[in-house]
Amino acid sequence: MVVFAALALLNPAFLTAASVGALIDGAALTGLVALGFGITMLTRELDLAVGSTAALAGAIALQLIGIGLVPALVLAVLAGVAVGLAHGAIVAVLGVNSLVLTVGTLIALRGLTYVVAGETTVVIPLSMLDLADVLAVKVGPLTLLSLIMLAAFALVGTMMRWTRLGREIRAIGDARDEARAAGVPVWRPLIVAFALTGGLAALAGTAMSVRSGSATPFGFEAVLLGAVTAALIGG
Amino acid sequence: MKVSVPDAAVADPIRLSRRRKWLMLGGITFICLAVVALAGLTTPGFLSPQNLQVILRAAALVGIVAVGMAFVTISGTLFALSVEELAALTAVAFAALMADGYGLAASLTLAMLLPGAAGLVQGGIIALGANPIVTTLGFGAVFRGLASVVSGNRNVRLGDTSADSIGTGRPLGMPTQSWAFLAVVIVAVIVLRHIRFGRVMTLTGANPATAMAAGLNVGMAAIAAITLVSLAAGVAGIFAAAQFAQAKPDLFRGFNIQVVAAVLVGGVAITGGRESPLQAAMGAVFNATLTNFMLIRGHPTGVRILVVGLIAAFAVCLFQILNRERRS
Repeated sequence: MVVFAALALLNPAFLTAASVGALIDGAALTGLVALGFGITMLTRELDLAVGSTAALAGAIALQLIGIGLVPALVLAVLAGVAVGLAHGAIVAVLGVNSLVLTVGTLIALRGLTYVVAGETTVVIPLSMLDLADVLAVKVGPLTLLSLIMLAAFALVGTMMRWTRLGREIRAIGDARDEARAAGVPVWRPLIVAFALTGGLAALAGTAMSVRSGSATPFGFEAVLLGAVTAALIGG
Repeated sequence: MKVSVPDAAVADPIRLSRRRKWLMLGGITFICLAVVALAGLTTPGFLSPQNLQVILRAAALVGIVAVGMAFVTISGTLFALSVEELAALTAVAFAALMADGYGLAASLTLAMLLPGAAGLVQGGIIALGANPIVTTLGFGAVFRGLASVVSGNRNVRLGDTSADSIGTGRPLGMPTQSWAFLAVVIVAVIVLRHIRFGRVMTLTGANPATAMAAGLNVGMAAIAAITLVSLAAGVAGIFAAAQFAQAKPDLFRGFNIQVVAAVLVGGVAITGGRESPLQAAMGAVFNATLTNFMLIRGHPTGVRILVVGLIAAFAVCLFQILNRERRS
């Protein structure tokens, strides 16, 4: 943000709606993943496998794109949610440290991505290339992807503040023992938090892969750093 | 008077934890040998001396850095995820120095200054309170970029053959890297167990509050550990450059994952303080054995990575369960 402000001051033309739109769009991928990462961070757990989850979702989406854009997207996001559910379940039931676990799973998921992608870069078949443009469609200065990200932020923010689930999630992070003593079933918000993280990462990966028209097995490696930094800076 | 095991455990928790450590080491060794035996029976060529040498050499570089990483984890500093980039940077720096005619001794010294400084800087920032994972991830990106700059983004040939013996020598029939691996493991175990510096690190990881109360400099443990793993990464880089007589900036891709997987499979958890670098070394050997087996069987990259990852995740769960049973 500081960089942006500095640049804007130097060149007023920078501050157009279009450039703001572009800035938000560029941040959309990291933003979505950071949002998900932040949710698990609230429970005092870490999901370091988000980059691999995004990559896997992208690969799944593009492999399945033949059955239609929306079904492929849905299935890919569901895959991410499934990954999250597994993480949450293992952490909740076995008490395994999430940082260590997700370092292991990020390796495994990366391997799975290779397998799904058939060891190469998956590309959208030419006949379906116009589908990729769907996500680049703009509403005013904002792309569809940006809108998705902003909507996700709004939804999650609302959920965190107003719903019981959101409060439970924050409770097990701030004061897990007290929450347990108060009767909060710790496993439920834990699993939900991880599922959300997985789902959001998958959404980000899917969207980016569809839009750019290709998914490589080793993509999204830098996403982890960006998302974690963003989440930590944002507190 | 018979003393039942639970009473003995209460009376001497240190001995029980040491016994558990040897139990785990024994367990890993046994599984390793079992896999090797099984693989040897079902796959021709697996147990040949040449192949075993290949496995040992493949495990060596990962193993050296994994032992360094074990120091980081044991001291409670989580992981240093910048080792692959640092190894690449050191490799190209060494290659560039040799290519510019600095000679073996000078090149080695100057090239190793890089990971030393890198370790001190990262360690210092972490000692000030920064998250180790984020810090090292960030620095990793910087090192990768520096490697590109130093090498002019191309393959750097050493040009000088004096480093060949480092990379391809076989004193007494075993590759130099394997000797280095062996030496590193022995030194690490001795340091951690018998030298004050090592014991301070173990205590810092196991119980930071006690360490601080005892007046020990907890931050120093982080700095020392990160510097050690960085130096180890530098050594790996130099070996790689010497072995192939060239280096390019994108070497060691995926090395971070291999090192961490070795540490995890060896049962070195991030709870810190109780484990041995020998476990990390065994983890490296086990992973190398498994990967070699899969390679010979013709399994593609994805499957190999998937299996290693699953084993790592599984090992984490397994050791967590073992840990829990011991405590209760």
